[in-house]
Amino acid sequence: MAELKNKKSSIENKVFSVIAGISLVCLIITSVIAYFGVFKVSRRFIDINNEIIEHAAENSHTSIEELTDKELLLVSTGKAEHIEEMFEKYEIYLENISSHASDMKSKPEVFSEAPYHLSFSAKVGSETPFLLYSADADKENLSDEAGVTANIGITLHRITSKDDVISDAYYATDSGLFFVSSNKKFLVENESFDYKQREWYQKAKNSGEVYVSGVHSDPFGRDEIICITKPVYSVNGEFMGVAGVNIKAEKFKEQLGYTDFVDCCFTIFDDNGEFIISSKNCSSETGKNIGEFISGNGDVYDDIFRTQNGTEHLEIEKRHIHIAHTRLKEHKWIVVAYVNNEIASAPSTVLKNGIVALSQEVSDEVMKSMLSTCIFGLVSLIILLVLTYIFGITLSKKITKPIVTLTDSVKNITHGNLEFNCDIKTGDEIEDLSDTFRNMTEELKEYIDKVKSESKAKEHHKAELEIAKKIQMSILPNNAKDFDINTEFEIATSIIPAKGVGGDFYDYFMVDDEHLAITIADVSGKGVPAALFMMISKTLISNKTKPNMSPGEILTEVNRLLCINNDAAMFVTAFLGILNIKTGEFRYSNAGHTPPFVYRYKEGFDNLSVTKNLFLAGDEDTLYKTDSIMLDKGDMIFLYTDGVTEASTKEKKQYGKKRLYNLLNSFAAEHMTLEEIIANITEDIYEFVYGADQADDITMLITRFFN
Amino acid sequence: MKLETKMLPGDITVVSLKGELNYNTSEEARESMMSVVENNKNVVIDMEDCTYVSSSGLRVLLLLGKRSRQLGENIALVNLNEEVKDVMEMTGFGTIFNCYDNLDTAAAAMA
Repeated sequence: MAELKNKKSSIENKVFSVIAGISLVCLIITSVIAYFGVFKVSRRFIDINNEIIEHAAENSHTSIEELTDKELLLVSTGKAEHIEEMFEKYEIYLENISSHASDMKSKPEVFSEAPYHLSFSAKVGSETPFLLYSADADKENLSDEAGVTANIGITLHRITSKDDVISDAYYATDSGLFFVSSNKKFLVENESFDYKQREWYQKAKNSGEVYVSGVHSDPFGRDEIICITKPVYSVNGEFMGVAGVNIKAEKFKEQLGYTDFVDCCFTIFDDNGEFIISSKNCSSETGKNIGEFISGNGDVYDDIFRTQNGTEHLEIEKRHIHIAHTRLKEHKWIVVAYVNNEIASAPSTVLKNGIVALSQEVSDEVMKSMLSTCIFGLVSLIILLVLTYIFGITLSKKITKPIVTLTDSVKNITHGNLEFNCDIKTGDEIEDLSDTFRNMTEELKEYIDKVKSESKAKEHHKAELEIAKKIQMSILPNNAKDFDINTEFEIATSIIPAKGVGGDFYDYFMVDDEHLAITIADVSGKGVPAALFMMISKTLISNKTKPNMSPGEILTEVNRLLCINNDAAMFVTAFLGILNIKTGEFRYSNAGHTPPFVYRYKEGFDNLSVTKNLFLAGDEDTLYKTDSIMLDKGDMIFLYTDGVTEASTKEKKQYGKKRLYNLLNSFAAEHMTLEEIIANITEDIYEFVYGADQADDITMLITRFFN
Repeated sequence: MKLETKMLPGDITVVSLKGELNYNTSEEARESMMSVVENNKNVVIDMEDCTYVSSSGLRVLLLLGKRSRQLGENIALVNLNEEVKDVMEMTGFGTIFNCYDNLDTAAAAMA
């Protein structure tokens, strides 16, 4: 029972396992694919994002650098133009001085003498110029010339009063006069000024071109200035002197102004790389450093000072610097605009940082949503698992329920309850199976009923047969002991009937006082017909055996009677012998029966020779012949049916006449009782067949003659 | 028990009995052979492979013989083995049936 129960639940478990297993595998595969998909997409997204950031940063950096360079170049070029414009103006001033001086030289008669100051303590800002003599000047001879040339004071004053960038405007003659108009007081200790030794004078005189000095201190100890000078020639090309203006470096710086470009400085160098001036927002130190770096680096120097303009990226004292340079067209100045890389690339850094921050935000968002997707997936997985579990159990229960019901009902059958009440309507094989079981149980019930009634009938039949057998056996004489008192002979018989009623019989009776009749017979076939025929035969033989009739005559009569109406073709083999118990004469007739053995005292058993006659009930006209022998004292006649010789083993081996013969002669029969002889034979037969079913009646009759 | 039927020239039907002819097989043998006997004029029963004949078997043979005689036909037994021959002789069946050693002699006798 326990085993059955286990089996029942194991189907449910199996179905559940299959459902759960398939679902689980599907879920896991889907989850893994989804997880990897999401993971891969996120990963790819972040990678692309990073790439975008890098590209964007790089691009913005590059473009900003380009933009910076462009802007710087604009600054340097713009400033160069600006300086040139300023210089143009200053040159016009110089031209005014020059032409005025030239006019005075060529037409001295037109100009009357003009006043001039020899003391610098005088008030500045008037049309009267100050006069200083050169060191080598002959003051006496120059007084006339000084009076005329002093007219230049008007022009000089106009220049200084008009433009506050100009500190001084002056005209220095080759003859040794230095007229100056200044809008700032200056102190000169003596009246001479050795201007001819000055660079501005010599450079202008020697080159014949406009000369621009660097920034330097005013020889009178005032502001820092830049000198711009130009040689003055007469109409006939004679060198007369040098016109010049001093520019206040501070004002100049102011006029140069700033740049629109944030944190951009510019510095001006002359073409020898000498530092001139830096823009106001920028220290001279830095400008000088850049100048030194450029001067000390030949390639860079060549690039900057030998080309009209361009841009450079330099690394100065571990600082990346972008520079743009523009050479002035008319002058030997170079404007260098520069900006620190950190400042230039600041926007791109800001942009990059912005993008990084943004992308980090995006990545975080992606990771967050991925995480939430994963959590959602996990929760869904768990819910699905629970649902699968419930679904699996429900489904497996649903699938197995009819099976379980069926199993229980079938179990009932095995317990003997044939009422099959299982009503399964699943519409599938299980319903078929259930129907089959129902039909089977119904058929089984019918069959059992049938078997019951049949076995009842059989029992009945068997009982009747038993009765028949008993009747049959009861008609065989078993009063052999009654003859024991008779000293002439003795008789022993044995019949072992086969299953059912057989057809063997024996008989012995006294025909008259002197004659003993012995007979043995075997009716063909078995069962009730054989039994009936045996009864008839036995009755006829005993009835027809009359004194003075030979056995042949008796059997002839019996045969004739048996043949009447024997449509069933039953027949019987029979041996009939009649012994004269006084004389020992034994007359006999054999109707197709197995010939008996005859025992001669102390000689042994041998075949009794018989005349062969047809069995009884075969042919009504048969005449049965009689044989006869004489028996002596102690002789025996042994009658048997073929049940003895044809007793068979399971292998269908027959006992045989030879074995019977050998057995009979194997013991000293004279010392044995008849019962002992029969018992010996029976024992040997049983030993031979070794438990095989008995097919035929085993019948023996033995008689011993004493007289 | 097995039965085989074959025809020989001269309108002779040969029925071969194989196995034991006993109480259990006799009824089947009777039915089969009776129809042969009723439908054929000359019947030879070949007993070569018949190992045992019980009294029930003899009864079947007796029935066949009687029927054959009734119909005025010929019936014969051939190839009887020693044991069967003994039984036949002992019971006197030899007087009802013509017994021959083999098919040829039986056929010759019937022709």
